Formats: sequence, C-alpha cells, structure tokens
Amino acid sequence: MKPSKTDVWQGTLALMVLKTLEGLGPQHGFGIARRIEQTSGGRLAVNPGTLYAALMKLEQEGAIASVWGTSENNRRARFYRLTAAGRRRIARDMREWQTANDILAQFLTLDRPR
Amino acid sequence: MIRRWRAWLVQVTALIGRGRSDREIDDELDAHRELLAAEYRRSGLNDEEARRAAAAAFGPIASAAAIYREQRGIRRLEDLGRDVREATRSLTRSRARRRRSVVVVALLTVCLTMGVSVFAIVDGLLLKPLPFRDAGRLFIVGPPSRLDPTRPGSVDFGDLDALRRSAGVDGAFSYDFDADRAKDQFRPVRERHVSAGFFDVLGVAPALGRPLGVDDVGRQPRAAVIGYSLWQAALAGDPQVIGRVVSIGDDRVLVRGVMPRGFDFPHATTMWSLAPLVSPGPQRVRMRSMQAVVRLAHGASPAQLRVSGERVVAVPLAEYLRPENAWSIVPVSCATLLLVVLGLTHVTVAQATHAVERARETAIRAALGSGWVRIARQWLIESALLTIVAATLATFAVPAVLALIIRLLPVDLTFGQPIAIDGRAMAVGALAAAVAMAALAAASVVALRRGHLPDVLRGRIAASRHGSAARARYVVLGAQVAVVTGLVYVGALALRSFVLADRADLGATAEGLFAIDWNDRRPCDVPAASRRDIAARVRRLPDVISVAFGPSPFEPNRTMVQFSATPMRTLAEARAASAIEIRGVSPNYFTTAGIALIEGRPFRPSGDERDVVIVSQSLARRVFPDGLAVGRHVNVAGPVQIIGVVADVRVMGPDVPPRELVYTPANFAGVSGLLVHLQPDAHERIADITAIVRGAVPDARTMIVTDVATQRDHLLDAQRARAALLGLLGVVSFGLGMAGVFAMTAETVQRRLRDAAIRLALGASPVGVMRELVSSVLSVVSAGLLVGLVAGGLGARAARSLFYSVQPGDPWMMVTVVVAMLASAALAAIVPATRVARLDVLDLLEDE
Repeated sequence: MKPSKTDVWQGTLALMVLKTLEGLGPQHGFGIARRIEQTSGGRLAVNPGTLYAALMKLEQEGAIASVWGTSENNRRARFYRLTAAGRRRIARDMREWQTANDILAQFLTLDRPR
Repeated sequence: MIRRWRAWLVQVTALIGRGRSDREIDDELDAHRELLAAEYRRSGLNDEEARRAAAAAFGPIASAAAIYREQRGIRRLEDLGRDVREATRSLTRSRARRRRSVVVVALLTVCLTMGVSVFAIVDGLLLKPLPFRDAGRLFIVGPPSRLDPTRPGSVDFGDLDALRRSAGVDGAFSYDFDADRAKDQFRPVRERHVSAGFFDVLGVAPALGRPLGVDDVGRQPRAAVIGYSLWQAALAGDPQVIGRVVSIGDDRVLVRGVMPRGFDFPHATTMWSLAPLVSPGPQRVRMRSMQAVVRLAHGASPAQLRVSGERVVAVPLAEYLRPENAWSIVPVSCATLLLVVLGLTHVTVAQATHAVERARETAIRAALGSGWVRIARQWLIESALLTIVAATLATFAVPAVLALIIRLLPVDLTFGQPIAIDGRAMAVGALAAAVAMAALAAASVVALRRGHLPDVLRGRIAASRHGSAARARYVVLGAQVAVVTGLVYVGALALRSFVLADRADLGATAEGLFAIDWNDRRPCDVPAASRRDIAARVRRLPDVISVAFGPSPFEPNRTMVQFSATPMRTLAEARAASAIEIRGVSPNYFTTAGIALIEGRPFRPSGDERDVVIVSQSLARRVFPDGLAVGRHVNVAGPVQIIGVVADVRVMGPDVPPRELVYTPANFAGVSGLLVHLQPDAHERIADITAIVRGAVPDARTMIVTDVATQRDHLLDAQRARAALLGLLGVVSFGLGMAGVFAMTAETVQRRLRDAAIRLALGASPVGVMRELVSSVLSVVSAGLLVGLVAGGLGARAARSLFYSVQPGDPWMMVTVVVAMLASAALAAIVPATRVARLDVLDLLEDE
C-alpha cells in the first residue's frame, strides 16, 4: 500500500532545503521539492507556495543565493545555491535538531509506570 | 537576531525597490509546473494529459503565488505603500485635483514656514536660557544708574571686592561695558577688559588652553583669551599658539586660550584680557567704568547686596542682555500666529468641502466594501502626504524667511543669543505639521460622518441640509472676517506709519553730510590755528558747501559730563548732578548740520569764547521750565553761561525722546571730528579732506568716515522695518482672508443652489434670489468686520509703541479698511451668486 503523504513539519523545511542544496549543488525549486520527496521515501509532500516562500526567506537571511539559468527542458528557471552563511547554518541547525532529538528520544524510551 | 534583522532589512529594501517582481514570481512557478509536466510526459502521458496532471498536482497557482508574495515584503508596509500610491493618484488624478493639492500644499508651507520662523525668533529672544551654566543665578548688579535708576550702574574694583565677599554670592566678575575699542564692528580685534573669575563665574571654559588666572594680572605682554573667529582669521586656527606671544594686528599678546565657536559675551568681543588694577584713591571721585555680574548662591536673593553702603539694583543677566524692545516682537508674533491659524482654517475648510465633493467616490468605495475606518485611513494618508510635501518645502523656505524677518525686525538681535533653527524649533515645526495633518484628516472625516457618511454608507448621496452645519459655517466665516479685519487694520496703520516715519524730521540735515572722525571719536585738542587752517583748505576744495568741527548730528557714541543747574561744591552735590552728553563744536556747526537755533545766539565766529554753552531744547525745558534759559548760569564741569537754545536732534530715532545735549565751543571740550557738507555725488572729495586732516592734526591716527544720510536711514530702519513687517502681515492676511472668504462664500452658495432652484421653479426672480444670497453673506461679513475693527483697534492700542505718529483709532483708516473689505467680500459673494441666474432648474432637481 502506498504510504499517505504528510505535509512538511513546521520549522523543518529550511534545514531540508539547505541539506538538499548541500548535497545536490545549485538546484531549481522543482528539483529541491523532488529531492525532498524522494529522500522522505515519498512520505512528504512539498507545497510549492510554502517551498518558494521558504526559499525567499532563506535568501533574505543570506543562507542561499539565486540566479536565473536554464533548466533541463530548456526553460528559464531560478537556480538556488548554498552560501557560506548557509553552510554555517546547516551545522548549527543540525546540532540543535540533534539535541532536540536526543531529549525527545529519552522521553520516548521512558518506562511506563507499573 | 542578526539573521532576523538582515531579513527585515532586505524586505524593506525590497519594498522600496519592489524586490522580486510579480512577473518573476509567476515565471518561477510556471517553470516549476512545466518541469512537473515534463516529468509526467516522460512517464508516458501525452502533452495535454501531462499538463492537466501537473496542474492538478501543483494546485491553484494563485494561492502558491500569494504565499510566495507574502514572504516578499512586510505586509503592513506593503499595504501602506499601496495606500500611498493610491493617495498620490487620488491627489493628482485630474487638473482640478492637482490645482487643489498645490493650493493646499502652498498654504500649509506658508503656515509652517511662518510659524517655525517666528517661533525661532521668540524662542531666541524671550524663552531660551542663556548658554551659561545655571544662567538663572547670574545677575548684573550695581548702584542705581544715573541715567536710569531702575538699571544697575557701573562699579569699580572696590565695589567688586565688596560684592565678592557678600553673603549669598558664589562669585562675581566685572567687564568694561563702554569700551569703544570693543564696539567697532569693522575691527577684527575687539577687546574687553574683564576681571579674573569671568570664565568661572559664567561657567564657560575655553575650547583650547585655559582661562585667565590671577597669575596673569599685570603680565607684559598682557595675557588674553581670544575668540574663535579671531583665532581663525588672525592666527589661521593654529592650535600651537596656546602659551605663546603672538602679534595680532599691531598688538602683541600672550594667548592663554581660545573660546569655543559661538561664544559671544559681551557681544562682539573677540579678545578678553584682564583689566589693569587701579586702586581708588581716597581723595578723588572713584571712576566707575565696569559692569558687575554676580552668581548668587542657591536660594539667595540679590536684595541684601550692598556697595559702598548703598543698596544695589540687580537685574537677571538674561533680562539685562535682552534688547530693550525685544517684547515688541510679541504683537508681531501674535499676528503671525493668527495668520497661521487663519491659513490652517482655510486648509481644513477646503479639505472638508473637498471631502463632501468626493462623496460620490466615497459612496462607491463604501459599496465595494470599505468601512468608514478604511475611508478615514485613506483621508489620513492623503493629508499626511500633503503635509509631508509642505513640511519638506518649509524646511528649505524657513532659513530664507528667518533671515528676512531678522533683517526686518525692529530689534537689535546681537545680544549673544543665537537665533537659529535648532532642535526646539524643529520640534515645534514637527508638532505644527502633525496638528495640520490631524486637522486635515479630521475635517474630512467629520464632514463626511456628520453630513454625509451615514447616507453614503447606506448608498445614498445627499446634500447637507443640516441647519447646525450651515450656522457653523457662518460662524467660521464671521470669525475669519473678524481676524482678517483686525490684521488688515493693524497692517494698514503700520503702512501709514511707514510712510510717516520715512518723512520724519529728526532735527538735523543728513543729505550730503559726511562726518570724518579720528581716534575712535575721542575728542582731542586741535589748536584754533590748526582748525582755521583745516577749515580754509577744505573750503577751497571743489564741491564743498560748508565745513564745521563737531560730530555727526546723529552720532550714537557719547561723551558725558556732569551737569547741574547749581554749583557742585561737594562730592555729594557732584554725585547728584546728572550726566549730560557734551559735544565740542565750531561756530558754524549748527548751520552746517541744519540744526535750528531757537533762541539766543550762536558761538562767535572767532571761536575763542570760553565758559559759554548752547543747550538743546529738551534740556532747556527740563532745567528751566519757565522758558528762560538764555543768560542763565549752569555748571558743566565748572560755571558756564547758556547763550543759546537749539532744536533737539533725535539721535536714537523718530520715536525715542531726543537726547539732552550741551554744545560747547571746540576749544573747550576738544573736537572729535569734522563735519562736511558736500554737493550731491561728490563723496570722492573725502580722500582729499582726510589727507588735509592727517597733515594738520598729527594726533589723528585712525579715520572713520560716516555718511550721515546712511546714519539717518539706519535710525529710520527700525521704524520702517517694523512697519514693513506688520504691513506685510496685513497684506498677506488680506490675501489669505479674501481667498478664504471667497471659498466659503462660493461653497455656501453652492450648497444653497438646490433651495435656489426650488425657489426659481416656484417663480422667484433670479435677481431676488441672488440678492438674498449676497445679503445673507454680507450681513455675516459686516458683523465680522465690526468685531475685527474693535479687536484691531484694541490690538493697535496695546502695541502703540510700534507705530510712529498714527492713532490706534484713526477714523480714516477704519473707513478705508471697511470699504476695502466690504468691496472684496461683495465681489467674493457676487461672482458665485451669478451662477443662480444660469441655473438649469430641471437639471439640478433631476440630479438630486
């Protein structure tokens, strides 16, 4: 059975976009969305409006930069790339997520009261 | 935090530059959908199916674009930007609206400019504290002045010591207040002697170096602190001069310090040095030649201070330095304030009228779902735009207008208090702009809400038929006419005063007269033979009509002498004598200067008389009220006989009482200069005359040539400037007032057109309807005129000192103003009323 798709969780899209750009190099919005969906094993659906708003926000914050180029189907498309500030941000966000994850894991492994 | 600020900054920048355009956003989303469709095509769908599948998977592109755009800028700022663009379009949509916007901006600019300029002057003259530490505790003190017992007179070092030691005094210093060398504006070095403690007591410190100290007393060359302008001009701003002896002009001084830029006390001083100590001898009259300033302790009163056992007169320093006629600017300021209020009233009335005119547009907006808050917001933004443009223009206009007003002001503004656009004036300007903006917006919204908006929101457009609104309009019209009439009446009196002052008789001739003074106008002995030689040689020059020895008749500097109608035998009697100005003159001085001999005889042509004087009429009248002055004996530093009485010369201007003068033969008091009467346009002879004087009077080192006609003009300047300023206000208020009356009358008639149309339809004659419209307006105008004339008369009476030779209740001026105002108001009423005759009744009623 095909797993039902879930919207991207609040606050996680930025890190997913940054990690995608880190792995793939410069990429257009469609490529980023596809990569996120593939990485999640098709369990996440990326809403285009949300994705482009997140891309613009990251660009305003200086984590990524964009330039117009030509896509694989010879169409004009905007390509995004990671900046040095974006790389630093990945490292920091990953540390924070790791910490949050560890804390949550400890809660999840608590024994049930007898 | 930095990340968030950076994003905000980028958003704001994007807002200004519009950032990523809508087209770019659409392009990017289209590209995304195309890539999705291409993917579907690769999976085997045909073009059409692939496009449809991509559209379904992507969802509505508009909603994606909306989310995307949301991130582009700050929403509220974007909304504001949109509102501003809408408001700009609305203000400039048609030629009529552009014209209206220009008029509103012009009126607001005038109001803001006048308001801020006049505030800067009032603040500088009357409100702002002196730029000294805790200036409220500084007082000028001294024994009662001989000339004016309510003013502190001068002191000597003994008095200063006594003051320093008095209880309740934290410190005291003195400065020489009548130093000629400090007064000549054309000399770069204007030096004042001050006592040690001058800088400490004032609470000011040099910008460079240190103040003068006790160790500087008696030092040769003398130690001095110099002013910033002198430091720049004479020493090229060299910071190394501190502690060095430098040459400034023909003088050598040890520079101790440089005062900060703008320090100007006593006024126009550029060098401060310590006064040489003179110890008063017990046997002679002490020479008091300094002004004393004390800093009182907290809570101390100057009432207990004494010098030589005498109670002192104490005047706060700020009050003492303030020009005597500084308060005369208050009426001018009030008039300006009225003018500003008048201008603002016009603007708000015009805005309210405009709001009503735009009721149809507002109704459409309301029908499209705008609530009244949204509508009010639009009016506020329109008002803000108009005000911002006006405030920007006013920022450029204020310095020029301020400079013009300062030039026209009848007040000597050189008293150490800079008059400039500072933070206080800017704050007042901003406040005035905010008030204007709020008034504009409120007028529009109130006009809509009270008369129209309820109807508008219900989708109906109705003309205001509220009796209270009509009455309110009439009251505003009447009040405007009253204010304008008052200002115009005062302005008319001022203009008449201007004409009269221009022709004022000051008691002496001025045209073609030149005074050539030597040695800073200090009288010096010129032997009779030298005088005769100079006079003969000057008279032989072409273009010379006559020549005499003596000062310019309008010479402001004076040499004083003790004068008494009784002999001065004791010190007490000498002190009781009054100080009178003395002028040493040659026998033909009075004919050369055009001063009329009223009785008695002039000095004998031989010029060798002694112990005789000629007195001015005002002195003769005061001392000998019986009118028999000639032949009487008086004391002028010794017994002398009065041989003649001459006309008074108004040395201080047409509206200031004439100075009492004693004229003595030149050989008695010495002479300070030459008075020459030349043919018109012959001033090039002056060089020949000064050469003759230099050759004959070896002591005459410095020469100052004064054009007496210019000196006389300066005396009249104050009157003329004051009258011109008030007259200008009168003319501006007349223009503004008439514009307002015209607009209000036109608006009133416009609002009553429907009634007029019904009456015409019922058979009334157009002339009758017109007459009624005009007479209803003129009756309001007449009431306003009456109130305005009374107010103007009372205002002119309160400010009588501003006018020269005109009565506050001048009937002819009243008649002139009434006729002018009524004619203008009638014209303002008749022109719009003639529209009644051209009314198409059916069209009008159908429109309704």
